[in-house]
Amino acid sequence: MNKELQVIEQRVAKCEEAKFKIVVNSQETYDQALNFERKVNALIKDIDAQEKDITKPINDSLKKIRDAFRPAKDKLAQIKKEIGDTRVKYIQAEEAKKKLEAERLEARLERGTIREDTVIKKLAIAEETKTVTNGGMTSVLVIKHVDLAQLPMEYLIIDESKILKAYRAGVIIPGVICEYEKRARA
Amino acid sequence: MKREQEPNLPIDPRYKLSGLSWSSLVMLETDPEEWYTTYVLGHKRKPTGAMKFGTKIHKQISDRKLTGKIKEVPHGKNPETALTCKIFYTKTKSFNLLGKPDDYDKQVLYEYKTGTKLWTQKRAENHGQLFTYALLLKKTKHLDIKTALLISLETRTIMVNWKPKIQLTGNTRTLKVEITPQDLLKIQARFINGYKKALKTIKEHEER
Repeated sequence: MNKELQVIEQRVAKCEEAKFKIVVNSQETYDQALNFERKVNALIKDIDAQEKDITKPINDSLKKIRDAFRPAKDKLAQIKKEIGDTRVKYIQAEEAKKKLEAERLEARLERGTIREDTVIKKLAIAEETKTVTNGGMTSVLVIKHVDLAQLPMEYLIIDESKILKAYRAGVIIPGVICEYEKRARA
Repeated sequence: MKREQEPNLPIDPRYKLSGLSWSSLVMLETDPEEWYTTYVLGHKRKPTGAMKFGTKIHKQISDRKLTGKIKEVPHGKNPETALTCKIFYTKTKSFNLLGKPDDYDKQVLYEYKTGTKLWTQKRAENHGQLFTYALLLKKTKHLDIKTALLISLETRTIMVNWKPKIQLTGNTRTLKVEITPQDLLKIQARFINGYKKALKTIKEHEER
């Protein structure tokens, strides 16, 4: 492989050397530059093919190994998910119960049917006896609802491919201007 | 009925009173042994560079003399006021709650935090220190604080003459936290559990 890499490096070095001689300022030099780019493209393709000769069997083996282990891992992931969901449900129910109890105590305190120190003592006991999650639980921030009418522009992401596809199909999208610009292609 | 006070808690040198402050509660919850060493034996840890810098910035804010990239931050009218009140864990027994809010006015509590990472809304909403100070203000000044502003000031360390120097980056974040009556009840419950832990830790040391 080292020998093959050496040959490739030599060819790349030659290309790099040739690149410095190219100046585009006439039809003739433009055509020369385009031809050169085509040669570079051919070299890239050649390198890709050589690379693939080596990587394909490795990737095929990797795929086979992964396929063999996947079913067992998928099953375990499912088991893990089901147990995790049960834990989350339990904690959610416990938190809801605790919240309800705290609200009930607060309401009683407002009505004057319980002393503040009794409320605090009860809350302290509830806090002490709560389930310790031992790092098995995390909080993830999620978007629950979006009112587009109120959402400021800065939070909107433009779906570029959808816009371009519509433009190609002749759809006029208000507020959007598209145009074709030149890009080099060999 | 006469109300009694438990004598067991150590004197806090900053307040010259026995009791629990927010920082002592956090230490009790995370490491009761360190709390014992710090608050009972009085072996305070040497302040880190970041802590010293935080104190300096707090002083500049309370003196309204901020210099550098940030010239002004939201503030109240009563900077650095030491407050104490009692938390009753039975009808007659209590312990002192000690605290010094960074600043407050009639309706808003202000708390400043310096650090390399700006605070998040969630972190601010779960920050018991804000509820502790709102409780202290309710019990001592009869103020019904419903809003706290946590002003997070980002810092970075640069090298000056091969020595690390902390400075403000200029990035700030003001986080608004709503305070409910339930928050004030819950923070008292938390302090009661901290108090129990403190007494247990002291007792364990006395028995050794």
